[in-house]
Amino acid sequence: MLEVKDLRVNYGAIQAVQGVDFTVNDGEIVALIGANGAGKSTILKTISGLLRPKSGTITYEGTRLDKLSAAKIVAAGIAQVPEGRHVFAGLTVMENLKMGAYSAPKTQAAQLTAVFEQFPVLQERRHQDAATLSGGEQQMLAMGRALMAKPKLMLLDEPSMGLAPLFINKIFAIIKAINATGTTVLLIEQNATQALQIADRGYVVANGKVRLSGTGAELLANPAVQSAYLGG
Amino acid sequence: MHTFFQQTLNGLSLGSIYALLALGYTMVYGIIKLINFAHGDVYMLGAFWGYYVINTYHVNFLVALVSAMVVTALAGMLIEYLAYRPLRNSPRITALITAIGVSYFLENGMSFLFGANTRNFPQAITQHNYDVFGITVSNIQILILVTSLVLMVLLQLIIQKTKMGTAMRAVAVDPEAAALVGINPDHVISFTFGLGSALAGAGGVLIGLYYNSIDPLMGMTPGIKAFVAAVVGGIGSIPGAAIGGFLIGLLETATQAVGLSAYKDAAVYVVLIVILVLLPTGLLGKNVKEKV
Repeated sequence: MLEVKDLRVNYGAIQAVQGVDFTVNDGEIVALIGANGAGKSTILKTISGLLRPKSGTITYEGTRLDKLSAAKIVAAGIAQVPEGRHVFAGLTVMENLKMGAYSAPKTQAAQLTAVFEQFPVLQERRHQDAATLSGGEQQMLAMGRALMAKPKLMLLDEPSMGLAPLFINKIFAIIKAINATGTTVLLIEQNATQALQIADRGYVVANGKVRLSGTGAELLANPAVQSAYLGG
Repeated sequence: MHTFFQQTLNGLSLGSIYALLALGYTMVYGIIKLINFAHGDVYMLGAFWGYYVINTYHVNFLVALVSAMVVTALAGMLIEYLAYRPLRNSPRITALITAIGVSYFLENGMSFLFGANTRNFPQAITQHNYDVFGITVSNIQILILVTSLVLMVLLQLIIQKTKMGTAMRAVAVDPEAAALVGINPDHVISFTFGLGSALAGAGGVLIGLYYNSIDPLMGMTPGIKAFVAAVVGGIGSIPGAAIGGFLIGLLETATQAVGLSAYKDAAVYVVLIVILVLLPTGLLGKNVKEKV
């Protein structure tokens, strides 16, 4: 579904991504794990069109993404939940969700029902300013907003960051549920254990390169991964 | 007391025009952080368009107003497309200097094409003065106030209730997240310029009726005063721009009323300095913390 080949991206003067290859197959949950500053977010931002690659290709269902605008990439069926949630402050929860369907107005009503089913708290708070939500609720809103675009591929950048442990479990359960409805997921996490537990496959990124890859279970069992990323 | 109410009315009429202009400044700033110094000249274009259609086609006030709004909206979008869009990723100072350049271009371009002389704006509406409890109220003043308020309510509806208006607010508060939900920033920026320029064009026609004279440099001073109004209200804040506009109009008339006509412009700039020193974010501006 998504194929990244020899991707190189500069972030200012820094070579943040130095030749990365990976694939995401239809229906999978794929996790990119690695330390802060490894280049994971840069990869995600390049896929969604916020950054341009220096070289390499990103192909999604046969289409080159690396030349398309962010708006066209969303329209092609890829929605990103950004790191730090980035809900629209000053807009109500409902307005945030409607903006999520900006490029998919035809399915807006159906998706809204689905999002409210998945996140009942958003329905309760639909008239509230998004900035007044708690961190966990903002994460749910950011995910709901991405779902409003009816994406085939959902990119999640550090969804568990800064959340209470109880909320973290909830967020990972929701990611699994979203995947079960047929949405492919590419997930970036520093919380490697939980990410690999729900992931079909994972890639370990360090210093702008993929160092290891395997199924979620393989990586969890790998001693090198354990010592470096799983606190074991 | 009598003079007070009379001057308040005069101040509100003038202030509503500043408010219309200030809204354009503040909306554009809210979206792309640019002080569009050519905005006052778009108001001049609106006045000239009104002058042209009323004289040539003898249209009524409403047709002149609406057509001027359409023409200036297109002009504003064209200016954005030609002058500012190529600089989207340049430093902010580059766009700012370009805005000053666009302003000179419009002022001198209009002087070159149509002459720099001052013209009498055709009276599409005959002025009548009414005596209300001893205060002289002209039908033109009422027209200006009502038209401005109607336009401000319409603007508020567009910004709060329409998809494009919501997208404007989304881009203003978080451009990156807006791109990630599929909002094309170019469309929103273009729309914002169109909306702001339409209000400026309306202001130009209204001021033509009110002051009866127009010239290619007429946008300079009101443009700067409207910018002051937007800063006083809190640049980026839409209600702030409206309030700031009325305040500047009232201040200017009050300065004249106490016999300091020669200092009416100076008073406005003094307010700008005081606000920048004491309340840099303006009356309704938000204290935005830079994110790391």
